[in-house]
Amino acid sequence: MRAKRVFRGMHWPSLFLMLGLCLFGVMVIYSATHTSEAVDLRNAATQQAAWVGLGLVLFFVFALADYHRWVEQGWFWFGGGLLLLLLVLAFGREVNGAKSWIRFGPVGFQPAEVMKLAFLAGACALMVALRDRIEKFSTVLALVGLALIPVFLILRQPDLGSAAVFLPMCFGLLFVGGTRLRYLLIPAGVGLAGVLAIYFYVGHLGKELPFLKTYQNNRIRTFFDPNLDPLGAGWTIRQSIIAIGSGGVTGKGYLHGDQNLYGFLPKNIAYNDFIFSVLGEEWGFVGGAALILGQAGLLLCIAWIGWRAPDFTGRLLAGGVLGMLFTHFFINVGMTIKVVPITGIPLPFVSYGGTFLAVCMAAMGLMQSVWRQRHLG
Amino acid sequence: MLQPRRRANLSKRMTATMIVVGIAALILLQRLFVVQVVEGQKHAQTLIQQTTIPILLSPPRGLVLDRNGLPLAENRARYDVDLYVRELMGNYARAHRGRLPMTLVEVGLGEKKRKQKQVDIVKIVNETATEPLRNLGIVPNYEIDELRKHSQQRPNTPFQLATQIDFTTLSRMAERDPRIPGVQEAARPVRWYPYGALASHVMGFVGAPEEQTLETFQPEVIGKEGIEKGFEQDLEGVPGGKILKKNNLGFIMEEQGYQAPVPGHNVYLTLDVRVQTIVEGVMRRVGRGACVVMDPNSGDILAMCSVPNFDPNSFVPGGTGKSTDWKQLLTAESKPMLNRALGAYAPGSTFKTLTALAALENPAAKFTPQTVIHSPGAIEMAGRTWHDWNPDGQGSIALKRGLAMSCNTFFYQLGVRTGIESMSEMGKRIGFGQKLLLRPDGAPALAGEDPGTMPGREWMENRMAQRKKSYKTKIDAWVAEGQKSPRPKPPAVERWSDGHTANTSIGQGYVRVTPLQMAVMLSAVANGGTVYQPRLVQGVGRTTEKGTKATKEYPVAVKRGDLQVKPENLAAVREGLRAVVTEGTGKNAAVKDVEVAGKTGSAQFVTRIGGSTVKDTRTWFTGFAPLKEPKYVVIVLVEGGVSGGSTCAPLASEVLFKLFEMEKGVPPALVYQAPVVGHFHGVTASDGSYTPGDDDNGGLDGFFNWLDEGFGGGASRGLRRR
Repeated sequence: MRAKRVFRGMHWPSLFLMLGLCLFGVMVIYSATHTSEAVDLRNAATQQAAWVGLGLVLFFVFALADYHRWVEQGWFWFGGGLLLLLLVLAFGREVNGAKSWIRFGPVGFQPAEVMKLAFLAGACALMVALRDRIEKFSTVLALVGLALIPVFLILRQPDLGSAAVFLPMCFGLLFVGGTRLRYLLIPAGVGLAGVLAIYFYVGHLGKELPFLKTYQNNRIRTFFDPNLDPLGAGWTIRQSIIAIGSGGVTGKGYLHGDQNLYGFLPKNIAYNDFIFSVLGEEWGFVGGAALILGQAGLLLCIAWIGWRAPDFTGRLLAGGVLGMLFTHFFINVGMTIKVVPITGIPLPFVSYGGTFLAVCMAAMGLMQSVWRQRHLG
Repeated sequence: MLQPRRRANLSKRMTATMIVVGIAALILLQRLFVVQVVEGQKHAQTLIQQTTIPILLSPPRGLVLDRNGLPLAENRARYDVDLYVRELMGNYARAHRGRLPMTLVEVGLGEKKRKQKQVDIVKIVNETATEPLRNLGIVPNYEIDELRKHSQQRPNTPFQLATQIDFTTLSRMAERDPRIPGVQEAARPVRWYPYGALASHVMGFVGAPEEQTLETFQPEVIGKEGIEKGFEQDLEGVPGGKILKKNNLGFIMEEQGYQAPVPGHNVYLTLDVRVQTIVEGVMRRVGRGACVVMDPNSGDILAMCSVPNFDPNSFVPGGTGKSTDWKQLLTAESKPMLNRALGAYAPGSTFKTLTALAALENPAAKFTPQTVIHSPGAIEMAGRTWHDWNPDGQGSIALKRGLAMSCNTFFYQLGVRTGIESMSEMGKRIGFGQKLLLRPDGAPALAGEDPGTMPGREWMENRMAQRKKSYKTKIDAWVAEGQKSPRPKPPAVERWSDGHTANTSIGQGYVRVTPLQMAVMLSAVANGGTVYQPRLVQGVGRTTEKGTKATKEYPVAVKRGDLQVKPENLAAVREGLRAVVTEGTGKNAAVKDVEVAGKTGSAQFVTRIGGSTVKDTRTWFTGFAPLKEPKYVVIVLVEGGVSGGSTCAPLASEVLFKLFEMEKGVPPALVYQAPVVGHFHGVTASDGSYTPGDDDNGGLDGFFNWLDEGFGGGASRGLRRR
């Protein structure tokens, strides 16, 4: 009886897509790490599987709870998230030049990922509070102002990739919330123009932007021409394209990606940010396209859930989750095949990384909660 | 509750959201399609390039063995330190964030000479490999230019950073592996001639191929002369290869697709190292000369020697020789690289054997072994006076005495009686004027054989026709030029006369014979008239696990023809040749307890050596032994000798003596032979009317020219034959 109640009204397509992606992720992580010399890397697949278990618990917690409760407590969660970000800046462990981990013995997590979910709660709370003025520009400013607080803290770690996700989340919230289009499209257009201008300035003229670090400038530059520095800064993108391209239509077979096995894809990023390169090499266009379609299908499910949401809050949540997952998916897959410059953010449900996986599954739980209440509105 | 306006708005926005997701997915799918399906092959190629190191494995070169299976050319292991340029470069690049040192290098020759920007491989080697190698006691001994060239042209094949590492150092390197990516020790076969200069003209030598191509496999050495060159295709073998998989740090992960190289075929010679050693031991004393020992019953060449000679080991790339050594060899005036056993020389009196054979078989000559011809010190014939070497002559003598004393006036008369046609015919039966050292398919078994000349009327007509032709060309050119220069002189017209016949009958004039052809003639005389195909190579075979498998066998004792001389006449000639040694000009050729038969000869020759005109007499002894059931034919030729009897007969005697000693069980010591240095001790200043400018090298052409210009009535020059 109880089990029946738990599963009643579930959005099954999104649940299966999510589980499928998680499973695929564990498999590819194993492939990316099983020949590694480092023990940590060899255990990655097992750890990821454990995190999938934890993620499922969170998924059901969020799915069974009423999402209104989550938004009502939004300020509390937002404050908690900021506290964690402050803690990590104070006591965090530095890994690869960034202070982004809080560890308790063997278990660690990244507050920046947790902040994505906490921000969603806070932002929704803010939007609900400002619901009557939703079309005003001041609301846009308020939300972006709210986002800039965690962005500022995350940039201090520094972690440009994670920080970059907050603005698209805002965009998703505002777009779905009903802000006037001109308030959204004009800044977005200006932002896009700015990005293009930066590409032109750095990539073609070879100048450096003063507010970015040299390696970040180099990333932009090598995005335009990976051959500029084939063994230096362009190495990763070049090797990623070789890996994926050499996979061909059907791939080289599971556990048979030479590019990965021989270490041309750096081992320390192949299983997280560049998991799609490993996947593309071993599973070919068939596997790569399946992943893209699966991710896109999941995003469409979220959009559909938002559409059918019983109220404003549920719709907002869908918009925020959609903004977050879409950004991760598009930028992560896009950077491995040179559609966007390299930004170190993971592929939802697939990349190694427990915190982000749990956050994503929790977010999907929220969506289930919205879906379960679709008739109540 | 939402208001209706909001609802409509919402629907549009959710639709827009879905469209955006769809478009994003399509963008990624399109790009993925381009990368994987459209450009997939290209990326797969790049992957192969960066993960594999193709390595070519040279096949061991086939051996050259003597008739008893002793190797005359084999392969020795040499230990080197190899550099794989690509691997080292790639590794260096990764260690230096992709920056490779560049330098300007001059490339091309002459007009095409230009500066090219290249990766400074020398600097990379110096920074990464030199020091660790020195610590192991290995001193790189490569040439900088060679390394640069190699890294541009053949980056896939190993470059030898250091060669000829001794075994102790090699073991040290294996023990304390310096782990320089792209640098590893290697053992490779190097050509080795265990007897040094022995039979060097037969063996030839190997060298680096001249044309270095990128695409096809090139062996490290190819045959440049002799058997090594002539049988290159057999000796070479088929290269093998393997593919090494390397990781991003340049270390080898695994080996793929190993294909073992197929060793080259062995070449089995008819030479006998013992006989060759005996011959060379004797011929060492001579400045310039040749010696051929043949089995008269099969035509197998047991020894073929030419002095001065060279040590083929000094030509082997990476071998012990210095490059200056062989440059000297190539330019030396005594021509150490020339195989004199296959060179054509005036036969002098040794040709009288042929004159006798022709005369006995021509009924028109009305000549039998008993026919007596009056042979005074000088005779009048064909309008000129013809002298014997002995002013008193020999009186009235028959064939036996004529051969024994090598009487010129006897053979002048006999030759004219016989006629040039009979002599030419006999020469053709033996093979004079033809290349003889052939494989069954007609290809030369050894390059550089001179066919020699067997003159006659027809030969003279062809000669004149050719002269006219070249004169016509000259005139045409002169007319086309507008007759500016003085009119070319018309060629001298020469017709075959009795004078020519008389001259030819004593081996003088235009006739030219090689020591090998002499050996064929003497074999035929000795064995009862069979003309055998001379054989140097028994066959080609491959060494397998079960032993040797012949892949090409050259037939034994192939008859080219017959002298067509009646047995009693042939016996008479043999008797005459025996008399040469017992009572005539070749007494020095005698060997105790062995019946040696033979014929001496010496032909005056004028040449230019070191800028001055000199007499360089060609002296011969052509013989065989024992008289009954002959086993060995020995031909000795010495340039700059005194006379056949005094210079060559003793050498032949010694060779034969040692051969029979060997048969009794006293073989020569088989040792490494140092090369023989040529000299001109026998030559004397000449009063001959050599025409300078025709040929300053004193080659055979020079002699021809001298004859053409100055021979005229040739014989009356009073050449004395012995």
